[in-house]
Amino acid sequence: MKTMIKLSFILAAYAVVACVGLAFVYTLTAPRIAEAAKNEVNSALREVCPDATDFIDVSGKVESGSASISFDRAYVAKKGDAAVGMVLQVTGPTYKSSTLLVAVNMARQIIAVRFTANTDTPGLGSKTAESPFIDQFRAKSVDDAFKAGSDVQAISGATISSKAVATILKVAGFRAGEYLAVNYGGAAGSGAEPILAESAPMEISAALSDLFPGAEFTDVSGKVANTVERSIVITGAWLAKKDGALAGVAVQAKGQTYKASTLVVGVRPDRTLAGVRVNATSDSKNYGYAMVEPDYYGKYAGKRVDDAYLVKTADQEGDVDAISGATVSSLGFANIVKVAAFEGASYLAGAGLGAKGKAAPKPFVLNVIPEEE
Amino acid sequence: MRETNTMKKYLSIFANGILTENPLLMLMIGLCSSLAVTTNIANGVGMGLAMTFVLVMSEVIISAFHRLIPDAIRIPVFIIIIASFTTIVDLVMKAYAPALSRAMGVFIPLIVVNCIIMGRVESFSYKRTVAESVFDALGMGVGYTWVLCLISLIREFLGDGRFFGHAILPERFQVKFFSQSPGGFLVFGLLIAVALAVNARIAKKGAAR
Repeated sequence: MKTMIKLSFILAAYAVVACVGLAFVYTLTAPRIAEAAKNEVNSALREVCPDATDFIDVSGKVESGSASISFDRAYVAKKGDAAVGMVLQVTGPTYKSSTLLVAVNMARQIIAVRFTANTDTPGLGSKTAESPFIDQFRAKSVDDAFKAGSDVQAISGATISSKAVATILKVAGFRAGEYLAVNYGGAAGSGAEPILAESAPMEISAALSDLFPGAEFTDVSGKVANTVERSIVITGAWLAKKDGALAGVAVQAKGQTYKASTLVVGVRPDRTLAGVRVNATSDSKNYGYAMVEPDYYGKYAGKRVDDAYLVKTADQEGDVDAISGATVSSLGFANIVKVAAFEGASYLAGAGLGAKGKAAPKPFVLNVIPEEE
Repeated sequence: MRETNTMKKYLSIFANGILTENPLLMLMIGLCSSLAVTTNIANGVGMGLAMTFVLVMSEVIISAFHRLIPDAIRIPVFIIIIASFTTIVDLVMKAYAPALSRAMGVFIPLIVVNCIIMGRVESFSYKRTVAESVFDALGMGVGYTWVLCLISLIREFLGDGRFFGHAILPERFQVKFFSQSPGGFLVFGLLIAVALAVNARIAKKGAAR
């Protein structure tokens, strides 16, 4: 016992001496280490914002306004006393996730973009960090649309990454421009707020009032039957009346997409579509899930019930676009719409409420969903 | 006469670490950090110097205080001493050579658990005088450093086409394999073979004489 206590004290003595020594060295080196760390950050910042002489940390004062895109750090770039721009370090979902430094000048233009981390697929999504893709954002106004296909050239084979990077840049650029305009007298913007609301499947009531705004609905589920295709199941139907006049019928149908989806299809008495809304889908995020975007389902509004509903693919001509990267989901989507629309229109015609169409063609042609290999 | 004898003794202790008991090539201890950082010469030199500093300081302190270190708790005391000097190296490097510090990453803090230091303090300096320990530490440090430098020179030249940081080998002649870990193992293995052959020849000569 005695030796144990003695040994403990000896060990403690060595530890104390070592600690004092280390504390001494630490005090000597700490300012240098802090300075070195600051220089490192500054040189990374200077790479995207070469004009600046100093960077003021304003992290936490700029919000992205999006749940998925976060501004990790924010710096106002200064040359002497005058602000020359802003650098944001932003992390957001791409195919997986990316972190970028984005520099914006006082004229609301992107100065430069640099990736600090990118976990997308090497050789595909990772190309977003490389020239020429990343170069197209240089000197781009933050008030532009940043839409792949119009003002942003997407990388073929990496559409999702390309779109996501464009969105992140739009959000970061726009917020930086606004911050500079409000706090440092930067140019005021003319562009629209970036759209950040993330699309999601709609509740049935939201879908109905979105398809037939201001209408009243009567449940007619069970009266719209499956007559042409058994694999797609009609699960509900509602008659829509607006100011006493019939506006149409909304048919809820479930069927195979990549996995399965439930759609609500609005049919007008004149055998045209009021529109399509997605009620539920279990398709893959990043791929088939894109059907919940208004950009996609919106294309169906105004189509005729008796159209072909064939999806444009590598193998067939068609009258409906596919979601890029999600052909199978698109084929299933078109099939569900076609069946629901046909059954809805038949119900209206049968009840004497809408225009009659031709009898159902036999066989009722649908898109062929390829078997998984 | 006695002076030349002591000088000779110190020199032989020093030379011991350079080749006959080279920690990397002969004892084959402390390998993981040496293979990991040797992708370019700057890392090799930096790691070698850091290691030598910790070795010398730890051996000096331990041989000077070995009467004050009870046998039962010598290992924890060794670790405290080695860890202190390693932390000092780490802090100084972060302050004055941040780029080098980043390139070495976790391997500087890991000097604490490097078997070379633990092995030398336990088997040598704990039982010897301060002067002998200094020469042993220097010998081991230099022995470690030159092997590190040689491996990095070879790997940097073949894998990255550079010699002391100057690009000289065009890209199509580079063998990226040497920048990766398998290349490190290959170069290291060949060096061991050469060192063993040289050592055997020296031993034969010694026996013949």
